[in-house]
Amino acid sequence: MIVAIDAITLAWALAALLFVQAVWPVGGVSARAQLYAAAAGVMLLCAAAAYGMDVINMPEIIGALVIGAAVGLLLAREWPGPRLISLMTSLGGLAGCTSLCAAAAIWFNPYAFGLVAEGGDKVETQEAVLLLLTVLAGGAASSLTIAAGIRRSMTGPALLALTIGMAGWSAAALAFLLQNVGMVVAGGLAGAAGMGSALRICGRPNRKGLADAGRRP
Amino acid sequence: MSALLLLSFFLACAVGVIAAWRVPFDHVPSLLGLLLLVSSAGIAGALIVAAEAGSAAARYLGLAAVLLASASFCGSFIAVRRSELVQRTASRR
Repeated sequence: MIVAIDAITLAWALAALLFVQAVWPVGGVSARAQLYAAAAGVMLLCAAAAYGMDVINMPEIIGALVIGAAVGLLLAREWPGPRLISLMTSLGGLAGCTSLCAAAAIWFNPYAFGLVAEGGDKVETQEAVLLLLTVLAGGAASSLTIAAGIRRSMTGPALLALTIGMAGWSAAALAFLLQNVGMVVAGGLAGAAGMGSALRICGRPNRKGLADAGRRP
Repeated sequence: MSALLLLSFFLACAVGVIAAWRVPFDHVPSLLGLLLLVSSAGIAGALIVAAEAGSAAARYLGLAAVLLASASFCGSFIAVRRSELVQRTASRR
């Protein structure tokens, strides 16, 4: 048991490092290397989750993983190039929808995730607040995607950044509920950086950040 | 709620804000692609929920979460690679 806990903690730490390396703006690292670092971090988190869980319905889970991957690959390959940003917004909405479904599953199975204390019949306040935050942020990400689908003029980098931020916050709230440190890091990173980017795109008239501070407008 | 979780969360938020603020404005779209991939880390939570689910409703909702998360992760990876290729081609011209 101690070995399992150590391996999972190590995987979380490695994944957190990979996420930071992917997002941190340093010169000399190619965009492709950053992309692979982010993907490797997510895969490590999945491996840690699979390593630590008691698998009851493994065939169904693998089936859902394969079908989802096929749909995602097909969508991303066949989507027209000039409208790629709207696809990315939809994928951010899907990530928010994931948290919504997971929160609903936890609500229907409260004893397994500590929503209700053993022997009790009342939902714990802290867990209820985290569940509410997950639903609110996930719902916001999904609603932004639906709004972008209805009014195509709304699609743009600012909406994409907002959707990513909301999806990140919902993943972080879900991670607090599941006590998963690796997911907390990923969610916090995506949430804060997404909202920061959205503020930077929308809020500043000359759109300067620290990196552009020396430039003239 | 453990101190480790809170500490990790606040450190990650700080790194995220600094990264978003320090990147040159021209590179914000490529940062957004990376963040999209990182935000699909919810797939790990979906896997945990789907494996633990007890009732039928919880089981199907967990499987739906896995399906959506998998589509989001794989789609994001390919979409970001495609947009990176487009940017590279544009910068060569």
